[in-house]
Amino acid sequence: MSEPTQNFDDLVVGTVYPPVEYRMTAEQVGIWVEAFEDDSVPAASGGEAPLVPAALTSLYILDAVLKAYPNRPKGNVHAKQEFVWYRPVRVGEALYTEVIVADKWIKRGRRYVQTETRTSNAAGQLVATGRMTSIFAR
Amino acid sequence: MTKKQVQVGDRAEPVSLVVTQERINAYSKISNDYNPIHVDPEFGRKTEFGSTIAHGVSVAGLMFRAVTRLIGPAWPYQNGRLNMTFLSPTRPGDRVTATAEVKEVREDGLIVCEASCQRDDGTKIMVCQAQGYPV
Repeated sequence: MSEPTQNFDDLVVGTVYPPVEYRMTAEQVGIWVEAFEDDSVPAASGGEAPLVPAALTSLYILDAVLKAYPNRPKGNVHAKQEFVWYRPVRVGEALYTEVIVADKWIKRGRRYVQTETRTSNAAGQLVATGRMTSIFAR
Repeated sequence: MTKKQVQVGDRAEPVSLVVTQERINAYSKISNDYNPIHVDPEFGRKTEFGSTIAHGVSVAGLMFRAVTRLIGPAWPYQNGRLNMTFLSPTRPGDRVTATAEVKEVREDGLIVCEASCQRDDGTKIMVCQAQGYPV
């Protein structure tokens, strides 16, 4: 039995997907810093785990979105992204991201889907929210 | 040592990077996003873009860096906000440069910036508004 598709018409506005756990690794941060020459990362201090660069917020958000939409069409394009941060994230920290299908519409023949995310830490504190606008290929 | 006072009109030193398939692949590795539009040159050639394209959020890292140069290294972590729009894709071989400018400094110290990335040919590829407190 084949998996159900998650094309534009299949998505239901208001759908909330269960939280997805994510832990950023030092390796991921290292690959990012080296490949993209990111010199903006605050240095670690006081024996605490290093801070995760804010530019990598998309990793835990995208991870949850990709898991919420495993059967999405190939060729979707990321059009807009908003982040709001509430507290810093450290390497190795457990994060839980909930994905919500917030809206969808067609404009000039393009299929737009707006996905919202809410990421919390292990203590249940809000870490970041996101709003992603994608153009679905089908 | 006193913190530099940020003023409306202050501009960050530009930040540049050349987009390569290797960088795109590196971002795919850390993000686990292997959408063929990013990693499959054959697939990319058949799309409207004519090639693979970079993950927008990876190139946006340049705007983060430009904004950081204005506000400070920990600006996102205290109610920081960033809203970006991807205008045009970037392809392997594109050299992109991010610039940022302070647009507003509010009474409580919140700094509002606008930043953008453009290719060497002047095409603007993404824009954002970012705000945060200098830390």
